[in-house]
Amino acid sequence: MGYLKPDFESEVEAAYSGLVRAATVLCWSNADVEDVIQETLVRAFKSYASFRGECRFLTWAYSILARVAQDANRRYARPIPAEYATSHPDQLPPVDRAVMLDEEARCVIDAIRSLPERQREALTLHFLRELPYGEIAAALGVSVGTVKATIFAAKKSLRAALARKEIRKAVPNVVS
Amino acid sequence: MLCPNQESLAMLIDRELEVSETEAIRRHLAGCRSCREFVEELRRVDACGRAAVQAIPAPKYVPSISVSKTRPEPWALPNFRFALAAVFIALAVGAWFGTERLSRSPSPPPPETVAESPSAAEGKSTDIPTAEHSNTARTSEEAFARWVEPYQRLQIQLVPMETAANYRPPQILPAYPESWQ
Repeated sequence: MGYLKPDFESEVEAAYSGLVRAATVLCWSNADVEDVIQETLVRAFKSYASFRGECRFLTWAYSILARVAQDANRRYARPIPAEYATSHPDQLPPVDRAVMLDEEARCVIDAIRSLPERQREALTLHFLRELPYGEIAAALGVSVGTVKATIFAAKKSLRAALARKEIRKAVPNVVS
Repeated sequence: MLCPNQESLAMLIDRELEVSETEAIRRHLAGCRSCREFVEELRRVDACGRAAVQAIPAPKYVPSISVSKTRPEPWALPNFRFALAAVFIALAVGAWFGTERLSRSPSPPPPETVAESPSAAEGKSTDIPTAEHSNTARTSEEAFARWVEPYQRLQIQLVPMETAANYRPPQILPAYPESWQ
């Protein structure tokens, strides 16, 4: 049975909130989020004919979004080296306080933004949807092994950053 | 059992392990406190990250005005283009006719004539038909007077055309000497 392709508008409608959240995490400047979303949708619309439904639309659009966000971030001189940023997330441009009402969530997002580019992209997609590593690898154009290592390294860095900020959210301790 | 590596523990949380591996690690976790604490820590990080990303307020998608529904600019309409082309053609034809007509019309009177005309001298408008006609008549009389003046100065008689047409020169006979007769 062939793939029944939905129209672009309904696909965007379903994935829009995820794309906005991803752009908020991936962009260095909050002012770029809207532009990055717009550019992503334009590029996605132009190449939608090539989308055959091998993965979710969000994953496919995310791969475009990551590239657009990279371009947007390159316009700015990176203020802090990646290694320093990982250990000093406070030095990064903060997520807009007016947008992020939850202080703790803002700190977590800042910590994710302080990660190196590849880790940030993989972890954001991982947190956005509970996608299998294979799909994340396809979206980012890397191998599954790379995704495993990248996400693990990102989680360890995030864990260290959150420990510094003493962010402890109550989560069930039962390993499912 | 030896402790599994930390990457495998992370994959356990992400459900990326085979069933057999998952069961083996679970059995290990039941008896290993350090691994259990590491897994709990990773789960906490995972939960924090997911909660933070999901807490980012995302506006609901509002379908933008698609291109087909957008009102095009007036100059992009085909009717507007046709209308514009028609106006240009009409202007071009009008200009051509105007030029043709101007080239056929008689040349304007000499400047001194215009300067001598009373209306021009007084700076009044000459668009009233009667005034224009009287001016033309007066101008032609003056021109005639100027034309006649050298003939009058030489005492040459000027006659009307009808008289000139019927003119018969006087018969002049040669005056022979009387000795010839």
